[in-house]
Amino acid sequence: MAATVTPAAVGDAGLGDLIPFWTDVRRRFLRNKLAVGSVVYVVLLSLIAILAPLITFYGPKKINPAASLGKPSRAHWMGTDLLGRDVWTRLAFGARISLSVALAVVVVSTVLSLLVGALAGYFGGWWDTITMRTADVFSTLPYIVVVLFFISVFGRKVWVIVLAIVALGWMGSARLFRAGVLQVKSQEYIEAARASGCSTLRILTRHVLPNAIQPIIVSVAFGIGSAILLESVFGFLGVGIAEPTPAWGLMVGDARDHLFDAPHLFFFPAGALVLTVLAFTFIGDGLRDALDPKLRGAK
Amino acid sequence: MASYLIRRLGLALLVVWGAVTIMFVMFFVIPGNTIDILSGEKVVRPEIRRTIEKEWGLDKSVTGQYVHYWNRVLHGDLGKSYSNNRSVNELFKQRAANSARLAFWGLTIEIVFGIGIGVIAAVRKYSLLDVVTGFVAVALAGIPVFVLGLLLQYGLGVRPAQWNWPRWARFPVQGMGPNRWFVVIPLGHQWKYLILPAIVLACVQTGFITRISRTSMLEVLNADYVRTARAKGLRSSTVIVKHALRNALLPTLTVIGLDVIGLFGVAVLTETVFNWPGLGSTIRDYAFAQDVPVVLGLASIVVLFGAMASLLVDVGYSILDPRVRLTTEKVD
Repeated sequence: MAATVTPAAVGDAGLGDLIPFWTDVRRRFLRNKLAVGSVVYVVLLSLIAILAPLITFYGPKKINPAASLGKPSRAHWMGTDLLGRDVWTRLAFGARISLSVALAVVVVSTVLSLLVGALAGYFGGWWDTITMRTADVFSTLPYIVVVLFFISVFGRKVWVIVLAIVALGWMGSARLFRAGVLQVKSQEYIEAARASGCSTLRILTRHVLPNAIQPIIVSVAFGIGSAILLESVFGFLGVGIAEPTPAWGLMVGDARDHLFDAPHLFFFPAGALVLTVLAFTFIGDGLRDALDPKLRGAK
Repeated sequence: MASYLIRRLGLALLVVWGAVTIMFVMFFVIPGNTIDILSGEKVVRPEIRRTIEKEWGLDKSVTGQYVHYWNRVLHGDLGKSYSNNRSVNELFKQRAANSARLAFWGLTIEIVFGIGIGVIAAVRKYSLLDVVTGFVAVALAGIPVFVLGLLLQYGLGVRPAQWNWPRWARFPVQGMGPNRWFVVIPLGHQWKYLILPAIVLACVQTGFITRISRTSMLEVLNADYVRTARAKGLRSSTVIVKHALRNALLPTLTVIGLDVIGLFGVAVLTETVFNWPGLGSTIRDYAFAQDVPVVLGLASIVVLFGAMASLLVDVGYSILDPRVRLTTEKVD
C-alpha cells in the first residue's frame, strides 16, 4: 500500500505514457473471471430484488393452507412452505431485505468508521485513545448480546437489525481506516499541504482521504457480504427481522423442521445465501488484488 | 517481565470491566421493557408493577443497581432468569460441561487439520492439494455455519434414514444422545452424536488457520536459517518440523487463542442447529425469550473467558518471543 501510484504522481515522475491508475485497476479486475462472474450475479440478484413484484405471481405473505409444504411444481416452481406461501416469491422479496439491509449497513458503518477511524488516526491524542479502547471492548461482546439489546429496546424491525449489525462491525473498518490515515499522514505531500496553509478540513478531504481510499473500497465489498451473513444468522436464530417478512435466514430457520418432508425449503434459500455471500467475497478479493497487486494471496 | 505482566493483566481487567459495564448500561440504564417481560406482556396494575420492580431491584437508582450488580457478580452470583426464575449459576453448571466437550473436539479438529493442511500446502506450494484446499477455505468462509450444519444433517442423517442405509452409515441429527463420557472421551455410541456438531464447530476456523499457517510457513521457509539448515545437509523433514514449523506456529497459535468469543458465536449456531444442550443453545433460547439476566450472566462468563485466553496468548507469546515484550515496552 506504500506506493500508491496516482496519475499525478506518475506524471510528476516523468515516466512517460504510463496507464492511468484507475484504468489499470479496471483492467486487472476484468481479468479476474471469478470476480467478474460475481458482479454479473450481483447485478442479476439486484434486478430480481427490484423487479420482485413483476416476476412473482403470489404475495410474499399470502397464506394458502391448501398448498402447505408443496414440492416444486409448475405452479410453485420452488415449492411452498408450511403455510403454503410460494418459496420463489419469498426468495425474491427476501433479496430486497438482504440487499437493502447490507447496503444500509455499509453506508452507515463506513461513514461512522470514517469519522471515528480517520479522525482518530489524524488527530491522535485522547480521541484516538477513547475510540480505539471502546473498539477493543466492543469486539469482546458476543453478537447475541448486542442484537438482543437492540431488539428488546426497539423491536424486531429492519432498521433495528441494521443498527445492530453496524454496532457489531464498525470496529474493524475503523481500525483499518485509522491505519490507512496514519500511514498517509506521515507522507511528505501532507506536510507540504500543511506548509502551504491548507485548512485541516481541506487536507483531510482533498489529500488524506483520496490516498487512503483503497482499503475503504475493499472493506465495503467485504462488508456487504458479512452484513448479509450476519443478518441471516440473526434471522436463523430468531432474533432478527420478524415473521412474516421474507428474510433468507428466517426461511432457512423454518426449513430446519422440514428436512425430512420438504428439503426444498432448505436448499433454495440456503443456496441463494451461500451464492450471494461468496459473490461479495470474490468481488472483494478481486478489488483488493486489482487495487494492490502486491497483496495478492494475502488476507 | 513483571511490569509487562502487570500492565497486561490490568488491560485485561479493564476490558472485562468495560464490556460488563457496557452490557449493564445497555440493558438496565436504557429504558427497555423489563417489566413487560416479567409480567408476560400483560397490562400490569401499578401496585403489582411496584412489587415486581422491588423484587428485581429495578426501583433503585442506576448507581445503586450498578453497585448491586457488581456486588452480586463478584460474589459469584450470576442472577436469575426473568422468565422461569431459575438461577443462572445452576444453568451454567448444567450446560458448561456439554459445551466444553464439544469445544474440545472442535478445537482439536481445527488445530490438527488447520495446521496440518496449512503446512503441507506451504511445503507443496501450487500443488493440487494447495489449490484445492485454498479454494475450500474460501468457500467455507462463505457458507454460513447453520447452512453447513443443516447440509451435513441432510446428507448424513436424513437421506440415509430415508434410503434405509445400514445403521453404521447414519448419523443422529438432534440432541446429545446417551450422554456417556470419560471426561472428554465419548463412550459407546456417543461419538456418533458428537462428530457432526464438532466438525461444524471447527469448519470456519479450520479454513482460517489453514491460511494463516500456510502464509507463516511460507515466510519461514524462505528465511536464511532454513536455507542454512538445508545447506548443512539436514533431512528435509527435519528442516520442516524442527526449524520451520516451530517458528511458523507462533502466529497460528495466537489466532487460535484470540478467538474464544468468535468460537462462542459459532457454538451458538452449531448447538442450535443440532439441539446440543450447551451454553450456546441455552443463550440462544433465552435471547429468543428476551430473558436479559440469563443472557447477560452467561455472556459475562464468555467475556471473562475471552479476556483470559487473550491474556494467556500474549504472555505465552512474550515468553516464546521476547521481542514482543521489548517493542510494546518501547511504544508505551
